[in-house]
Amino acid sequence: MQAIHPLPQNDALRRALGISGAALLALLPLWLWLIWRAPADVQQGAIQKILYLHPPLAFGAYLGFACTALCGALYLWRRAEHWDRAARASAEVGVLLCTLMLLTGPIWAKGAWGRWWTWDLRLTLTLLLYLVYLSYLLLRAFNEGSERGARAGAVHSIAGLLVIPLNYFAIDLAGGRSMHPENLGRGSLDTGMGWPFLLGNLVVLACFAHLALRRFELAGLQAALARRRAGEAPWPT
Amino acid sequence: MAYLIAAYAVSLLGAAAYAASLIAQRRRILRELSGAPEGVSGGAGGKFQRRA
Repeated sequence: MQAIHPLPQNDALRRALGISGAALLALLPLWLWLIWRAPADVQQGAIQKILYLHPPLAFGAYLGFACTALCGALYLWRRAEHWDRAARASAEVGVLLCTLMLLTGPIWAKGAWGRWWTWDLRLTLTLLLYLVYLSYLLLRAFNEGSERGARAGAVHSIAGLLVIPLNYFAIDLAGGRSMHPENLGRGSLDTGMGWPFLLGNLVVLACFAHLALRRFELAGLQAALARRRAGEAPWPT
Repeated sequence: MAYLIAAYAVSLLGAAAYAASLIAQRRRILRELSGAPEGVSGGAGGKFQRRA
């Protein structure tokens, strides 16, 4: 019979999970209601309402990858395991949001352009960004528990950051020869379109925070389980 | 309209499925760490038997 270890309580983490989860539950129905009430676009009609989801998912992915690089840099500096766990959690949720962005984009493109995909600079760089952080997750999965893998991953995530500004300014870099619409600016959204867009960003932000915290907590439990299987105490005593 | 619904459905279901998988993994690990046998939520092996 293996010894039973009491689980340590991380009050700050549980509180942050509660706040982000409550924010998500409160904002989600309000956001969906605002989308329902938002006016249809004069050119695209109802399908333009994907705008309240697709760019927020892109910003969420940027945030996830930026957090991955930041936590990776802090890991290289401090060599504390929790920064590496935070980097992996951010990368995984960032890749999830990027996947959803890459699914909603072609759906919108099919409705608006009549084709699922085009090798436009913005779309190609988005795919590149996705592959950079997907390869980060693969690298980490193949070097599970290795300090060398954690260091290599941190460097990979910091180098991968370069793709974010390239991706964001791709339309300008393409000199206007792009099927993808320009980035939103002041006056881009008509009356009634601003609030669902703002709420969309807040919902994705709350979703990112909640899922990344859950993934971070899970990574800690997985490490504890690995220690226990190795015959050590799962928690520091 | 079908494209619009598909885009929102894919995103909401994708995020919900990921959250559900994290919660399920957390439960499984906590059960293992607390020393309870795998899959035991009621009777042993899903059966309830009276004590001899």
